[in-house]
Amino acid sequence: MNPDIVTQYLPYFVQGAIVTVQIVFTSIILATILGYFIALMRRSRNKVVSGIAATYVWVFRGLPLLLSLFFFYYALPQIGIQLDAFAAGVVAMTLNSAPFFSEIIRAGLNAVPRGQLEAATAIGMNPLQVAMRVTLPQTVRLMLPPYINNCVIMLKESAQVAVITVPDLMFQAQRAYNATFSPLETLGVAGLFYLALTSVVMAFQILVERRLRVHPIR
Amino acid sequence: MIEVAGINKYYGSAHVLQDVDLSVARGEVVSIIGPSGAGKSSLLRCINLLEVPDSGQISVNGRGIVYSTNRHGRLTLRNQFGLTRLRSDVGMVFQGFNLWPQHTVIKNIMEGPMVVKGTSREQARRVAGDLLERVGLSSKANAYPADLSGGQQQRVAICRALAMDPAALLFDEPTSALDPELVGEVLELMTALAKGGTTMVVVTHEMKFARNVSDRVVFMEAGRIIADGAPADVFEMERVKSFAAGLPQ
Repeated sequence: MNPDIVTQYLPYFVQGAIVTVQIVFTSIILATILGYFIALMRRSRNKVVSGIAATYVWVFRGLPLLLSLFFFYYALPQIGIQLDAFAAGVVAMTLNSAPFFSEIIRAGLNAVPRGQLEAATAIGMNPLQVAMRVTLPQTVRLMLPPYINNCVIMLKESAQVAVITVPDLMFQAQRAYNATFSPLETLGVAGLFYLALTSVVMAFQILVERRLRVHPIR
Repeated sequence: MIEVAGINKYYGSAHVLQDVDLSVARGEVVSIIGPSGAGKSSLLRCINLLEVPDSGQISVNGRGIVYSTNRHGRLTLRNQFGLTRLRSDVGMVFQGFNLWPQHTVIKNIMEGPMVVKGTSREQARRVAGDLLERVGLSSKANAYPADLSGGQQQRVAICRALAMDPAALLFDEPTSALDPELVGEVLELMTALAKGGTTMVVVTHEMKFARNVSDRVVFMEAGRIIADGAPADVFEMERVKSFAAGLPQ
């Protein structure tokens, strides 16, 4: 163990961790929004609309993230669309994760008991108020554990964006390793960084669950 | 107060309501009884358009309700937004209570007035507090529905409906999901409301309530109203007698 290597590369690791957080956070937000609309589309009575959504889920749930990354970084320029590495990473991660979010959100939406929606309608709430006051709070409670779970998976999977030269944590760790051939001081430290990041997400989950009283209802 | 005329409702090919007419006067208590599948709940749910009739007129409080459906047989979006006034005019109590589990008891009662009527929090809290006191549940104001017995939940649900100050209350088998020993407390409250002059339409299997508390009894079977009259008269009919005799009492 050579502490000098650690201190020498630490600033790079911090930079890399910031990039990782940025790319994961952006992808989570976009994938959640996309996943929400996909979930709504799959519930549609219009066969074309639900068909498009189902096809999308089928395709992107089945493709490896690595393949999507290569595709959006290397293949799109051939049809005249040039994305920088970060953007290609965000697009690939968003499209690959949205199917999972959409399934989680769909399960949450389906699990809100009909009676509670009827009670809100019967008391005179309009559809928008029902959505905001009953559906949303219930859905959030129901889907929080699998949702956070998926966020942790994304955080770890994001290491793959290093292969398309996004300067994330994994990228910096690899570079440091190639320069020093000291795995413990480079990859080991990066591992600790990843653990720290996932720990923050899990702590967030515990906090929110307490706050929202996510406990078995009845 | 409530007038429905010529109501028809189909579920697929099943004709569950066949030209049903019903009128309820202000302050009147009407019980709807009959075997399962007779269309009692469907009729009740048509009054506030939770169920949309395929044809027929509905008027509440002297106002005719204009409604139309989209091709999926649901209310048009325009109606879903426009008919909220009607719905807040008739309160509804469900078989399964349907309290909102994420809110405390008092918040469940405050929710309607605050969200739908724009009542201030203080005013809503005052009304909810008064109602809870009336039903003897003041001590449960800050409990969550999951911590209450079925009977207590149903009393809270009645408070939630009353908080909107509705012109009439609809009860959809309010005691059917309750353990036998909890039925009494809910019927007691409903009886008190009836005595207090609340307009009520009650779908029920509680024959004692229908006979002793209601002003009128409606007997339904196979989508039609077979009998409609004073409890003493309706319960004298052979068909009603044989139906009531078959119920566990």
